[in-house]
Amino acid sequence: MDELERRLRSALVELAEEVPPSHNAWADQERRLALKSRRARVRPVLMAAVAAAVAALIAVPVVIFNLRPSGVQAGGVLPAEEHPSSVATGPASNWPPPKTGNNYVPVPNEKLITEPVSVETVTRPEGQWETLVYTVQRDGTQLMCSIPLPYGVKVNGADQAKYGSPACLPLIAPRNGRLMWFKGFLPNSANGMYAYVMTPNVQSVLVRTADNAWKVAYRIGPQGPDYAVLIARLGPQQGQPKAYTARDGRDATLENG
Amino acid sequence: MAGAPGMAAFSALFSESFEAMKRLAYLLGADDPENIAQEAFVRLHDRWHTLYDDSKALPYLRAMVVNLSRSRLRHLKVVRKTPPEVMLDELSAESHAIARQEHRRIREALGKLSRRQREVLVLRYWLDLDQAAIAETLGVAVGTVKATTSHAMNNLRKHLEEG
Repeated sequence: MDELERRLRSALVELAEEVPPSHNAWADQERRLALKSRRARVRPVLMAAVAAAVAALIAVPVVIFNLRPSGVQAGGVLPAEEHPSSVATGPASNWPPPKTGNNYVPVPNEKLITEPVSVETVTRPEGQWETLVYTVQRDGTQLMCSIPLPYGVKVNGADQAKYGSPACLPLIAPRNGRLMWFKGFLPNSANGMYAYVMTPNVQSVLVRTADNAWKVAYRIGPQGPDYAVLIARLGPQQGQPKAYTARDGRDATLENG
Repeated sequence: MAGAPGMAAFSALFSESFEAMKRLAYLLGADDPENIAQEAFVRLHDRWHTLYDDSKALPYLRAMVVNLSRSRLRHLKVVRKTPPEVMLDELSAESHAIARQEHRRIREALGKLSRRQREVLVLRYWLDLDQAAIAETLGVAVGTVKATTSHAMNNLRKHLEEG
């Protein structure tokens, strides 16, 4: 690296440091996403309303024409049989649509506590996979399980043997007012996904990584009655985190460890 | 991205990269880097399900920040504004005066480069991207990155000597 490159690099680093950190960036991002989501929801509703109005404009004259008490058809030919007095409604409606079910096929002696939720996607030569995380109760023991599966494949589905068994780790109920049921890397994660299982009042966990960076573990999916699962992406090369701070919905500290 | 699937990964990426993307927009000359970084993440969120895997997210994000910064600079040109240096610490300490003088000169020299040259230098010397990653971010060939980097360094040197 020559002198100018060194000076340039130093200047850029210094200039970048001039930008003050944002304190509510994630809250702002959530607000923007919510706003966008509302707009996205309104647009199809408007489109549907317009389509319905157009369909009504076409259908009403047809119905009126069909119900007209005339013996002569539009083509001037007498009808062979009398038309029915009402308009046929067609086949039974498909509404409401059938339930799509979840990503989990029940198995004996295992009770699903929290639904499988995709926490990362991985591209493999044979296609796209996702790592699903869920919790169950088996023989009185609470377990957090994870398994990478191709997109659309259910846990415990017909081809489960082909993909191996889920990796399940025991969850131990905290005592003495503590909040943590479990913490650890997902054993089959490609991106160093780290899980915290905490009591339901924990909304996020601030994590200090092995190299002193800060990451945040966020809740995934619906919580169980006794705990919520939170996941942070630490990266594939990371060691065990050094410390954590569990926080509630107002970012108040609930527990340090 | 829809609902919970991928949300943990998205929020983790936000936590890791938001500040860096904001600073990238600032170094590229945008006057509202925070807004650009936020918007880049909103667009990434829209496209999340189309990314093949999580590793594609960061390159997409960088490219989005570069594109949004370009748009912002074009807008500023149209309304004949100069991006205000609102982030500068005006109360510079005496001990940092010389360094600040040097950085001010480099900032001014960077400002005289073409948009593409400035982008290449920021991506190379601040984000430490290699030529292939810069090419991917800017949507150009690796050869173009090499040539632009060389021209940019020559021009930067020239502007500093003139200044």
